[in-house]
Amino acid sequence: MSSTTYPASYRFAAPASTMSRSTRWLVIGVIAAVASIAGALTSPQMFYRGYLIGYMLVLGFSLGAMALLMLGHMTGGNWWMIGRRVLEAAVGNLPLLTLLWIPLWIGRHALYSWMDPAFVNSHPSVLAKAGYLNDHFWTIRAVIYFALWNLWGMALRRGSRQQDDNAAPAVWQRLKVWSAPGLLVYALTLTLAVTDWVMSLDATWFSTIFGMFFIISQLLSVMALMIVVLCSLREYEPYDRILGPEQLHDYGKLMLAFTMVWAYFSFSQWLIIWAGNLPEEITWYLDRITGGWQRVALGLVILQFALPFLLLLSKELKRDARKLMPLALLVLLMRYIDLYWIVAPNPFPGSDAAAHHLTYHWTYFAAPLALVSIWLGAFFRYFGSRPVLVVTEPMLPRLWEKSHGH
Amino acid sequence: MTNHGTGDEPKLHGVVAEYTTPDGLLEACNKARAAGYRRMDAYTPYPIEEIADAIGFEKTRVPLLTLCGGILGGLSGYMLQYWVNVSAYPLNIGGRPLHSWPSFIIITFEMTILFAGITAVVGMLTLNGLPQPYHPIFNHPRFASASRDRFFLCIEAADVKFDVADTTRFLQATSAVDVAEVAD
Amino acid sequence: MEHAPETKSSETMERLLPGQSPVLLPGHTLETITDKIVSIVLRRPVTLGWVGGFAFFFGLLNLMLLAMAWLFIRGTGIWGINVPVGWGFAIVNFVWWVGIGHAGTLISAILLLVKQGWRNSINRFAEAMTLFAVACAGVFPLIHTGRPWLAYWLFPYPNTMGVWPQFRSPLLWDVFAVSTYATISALFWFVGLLPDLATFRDAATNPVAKRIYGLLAMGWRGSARHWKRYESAYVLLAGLAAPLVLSVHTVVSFDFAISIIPGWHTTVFPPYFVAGAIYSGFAMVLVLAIPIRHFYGVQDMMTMRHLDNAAKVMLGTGLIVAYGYSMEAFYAYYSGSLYEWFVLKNRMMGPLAWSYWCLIIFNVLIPQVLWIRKVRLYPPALFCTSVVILFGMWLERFVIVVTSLHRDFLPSSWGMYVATKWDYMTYLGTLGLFFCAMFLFIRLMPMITIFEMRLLVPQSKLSEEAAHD
Repeated sequence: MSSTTYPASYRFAAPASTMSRSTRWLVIGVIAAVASIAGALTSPQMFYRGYLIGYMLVLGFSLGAMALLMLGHMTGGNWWMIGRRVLEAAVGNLPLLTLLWIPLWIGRHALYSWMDPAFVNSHPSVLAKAGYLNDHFWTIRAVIYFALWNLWGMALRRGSRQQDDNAAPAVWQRLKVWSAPGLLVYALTLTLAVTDWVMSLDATWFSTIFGMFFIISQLLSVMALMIVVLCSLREYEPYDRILGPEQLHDYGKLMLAFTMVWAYFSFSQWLIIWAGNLPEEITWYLDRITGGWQRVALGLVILQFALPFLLLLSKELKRDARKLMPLALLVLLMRYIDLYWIVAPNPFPGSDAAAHHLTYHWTYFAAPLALVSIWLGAFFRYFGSRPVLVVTEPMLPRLWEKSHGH
Repeated sequence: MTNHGTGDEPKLHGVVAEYTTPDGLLEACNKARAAGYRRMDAYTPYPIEEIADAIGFEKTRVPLLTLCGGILGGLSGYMLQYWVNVSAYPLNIGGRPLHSWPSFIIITFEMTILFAGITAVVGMLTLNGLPQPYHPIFNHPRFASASRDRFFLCIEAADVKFDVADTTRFLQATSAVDVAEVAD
Repeated sequence: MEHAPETKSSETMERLLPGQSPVLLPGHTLETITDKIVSIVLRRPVTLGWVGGFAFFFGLLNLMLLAMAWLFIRGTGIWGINVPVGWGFAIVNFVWWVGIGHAGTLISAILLLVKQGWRNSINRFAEAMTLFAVACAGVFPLIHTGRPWLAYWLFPYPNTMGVWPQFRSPLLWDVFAVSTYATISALFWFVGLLPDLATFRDAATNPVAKRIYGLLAMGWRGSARHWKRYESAYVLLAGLAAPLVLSVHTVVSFDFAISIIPGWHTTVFPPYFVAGAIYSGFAMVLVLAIPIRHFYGVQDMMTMRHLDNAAKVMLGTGLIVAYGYSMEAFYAYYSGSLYEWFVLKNRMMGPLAWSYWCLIIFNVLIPQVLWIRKVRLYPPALFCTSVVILFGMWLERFVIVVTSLHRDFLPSSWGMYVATKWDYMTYLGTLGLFFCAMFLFIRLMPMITIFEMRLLVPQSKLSEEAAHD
């Protein structure tokens, strides 16, 4: 029985190992980046595709974290209080992601067939939306997305820094005020961004659930990432005390819920398009369930949904970090495979044919590895520079008193 | 094995102690268990997980039953659709395959939930022995407050260690506000 | 200092703003909670207001019976439906009622799973509301068949005709989804009621009432073993009901989306229908809760916090619905498809454009007042907003059903839809059915879950020392 509150001077410094983790990831990142650049010079079309896969993955970490952070500001919850700094460090990578977007801009002609006027003129349904889908407007929109994301990212981080020293309710209330419209901005900009960057890879295809599908995919990725990071730190202070089975259980439940919603959206889109069987829609799935791609699709059904779902039903597994963490790693891996399955089978610019046969180019591995490593390097640097808990958080003392370690 | 006096006295269900706080009840349960009593039951106006643990009831079979119900429902749901649409009554609908698995998922899901839900409720009631028209604990004159604001512990006469006088003394030594014998 | 953290549910992690009320106003004990809720049914005399309200809605209910009798005599030709609009009011009302029926299970199951203590005082009547709304919804497809006495043909059963249902049709999925939902909701409601019925049995003084509540309580005695299994079953039911409730409106959306009609066939329908269902469901919860807390004096149990939270849920789901509308519009353009684009133009500028713009005003523009804290904390304003939302959600279904059907691919087969008086009578009649049932429920059953409210009283908690012994 211990009810001692932490001393007021307690700063909850991040474990010293975060800095060495950061360095390790940055070294891997640089090596992979060098390899990727070689790939960019030898097979640019493949490289940019690989880069897009990796970029959507790490963008999902940062934007999904921003969405979860804002959701937490509005609803609270132990999971949010404990993982908040993980989310904030992920949001802190948004300026980096802005820079990392530039290669996509450079490679846009290698990625998108509609950048070529000859293609647009020969496809009436693409011509009909040429006012929206054209080189200049596409770039302008991207600038707007990044401006908004960075604005919100900055506001959330600044408010959080203020909250470190100032316990006044006005401080966290201001964060709430940013959060509600922020979620709206996130949903709208993300929908348009994935339409621009991913859906338009197949210029004639469209699906109205696509934005929501990416929203849940990002939330799922960041939840899995948060579980991995927190579990890997569970032996250090203060996590050894506050990250008990009770809290892990909550993270497990959230990952289960997101897994189910991911499956729900994926299945809904598939069922509606399959049943309608309209030529302008079904082709997207035909590209992805034939020529070997069906094996990837089946892999997704089993490893992104069925297995995590069944395992997460178990209460014991959710409460045990040694079992929850590998599962979260599997989910992260499958997030990458899912993006690969969405991005890679699209038709290449300059040829109407899709990548009909299962293709896996080495840059599909190198470029995402470079992006993920650099992202993680910057993430741990940011994470290590701040206290890992917000001392002035009004509900923290209660969590502290109720926790007795694991 | 029981120990409830001579033949002419009314048969005894047990000795019942009444408490005003959940803490009092929990303490008494722990003491009773430590003293070697096993056949006992606690009655509370709302669920308190610790009390069930304290009287030695730690695992319910309801989740397992529900899982079985769900699996049964899902399997039968899918198999019914498969059998009906593929072999019993095959119809060509818009050129779709007879075995249209994407279409069958919905009802499979609904049947899983339906069977699991019904199993959970029926299983819970059956394991609890409900509906039960008569139970001796209701002979206790103040038992109506168990559904309002009071907490009761009953050490049953069927316990090997049960002895009216001893058990009554034992319960009086706890923080009980009232200890009474209840007829069977 | 009286707003210390201990006065609210210990399970929720909430940070009270200055002036924000807790989930249960301080001063309650186990006894007062029980006595107050029991007295609403067992001690309080039937008032004139109750009789008057009940009589009014009973009148409406009879209107429905009248309309249905005429329907059975003459057939569905008395309605406004005809080629090309074969689905009129009946389907609009069906979707509307099913949608309303979503809030109950959402509050009971999902808020239980995410440990939101504020659900405890509104879940019971919201569950009752779900049951009655699903009953009202069920009326429509049943009478829409024209021969409701043959409705059992929808279920797969061995028969001498050797005929079986066709499982590739979303309409059959609907039969299974809605009947499963009705069954599970009823079970959930009954299981939740069980301990409270025992309380009623023990508190009733009228011997007949005591006997009836006793029968319904099935001999519940609050044994610790029973509670353990009970809690296990209750949480499992919640876990099952949560995906179920999402699936039901998803299946309703499939009724439309599985077809290839432009305006119906769109992938965003499942989540957007679900959000709309929750939106209208919470609006109905507020439409019921605001008068109930006023007339039955339960402001201390249904506090401003409940109204505030429900309003926030409405605002959130309303924004998801608005997102759905913008996706429909944006992708109508982005698709580059002539028909998709025409549906949008026809909705915005066609002969039924009034319904589209009213929908936008009622469902998107007016509810934005909920951003303002003062509105959320002023019950009359909240009540009016909720009514507006209910009407807006009805119009949404009208727009989806009618505008998509009345002008599809071939201009030669275009037509118009006008509802008849029989359509309106049936619709008003289901409102009568719904409110009649609610009136009876409030007088006969504990409308607030007693045993779960007890958990919100600080006195119900084990002390730290006891719990760790």
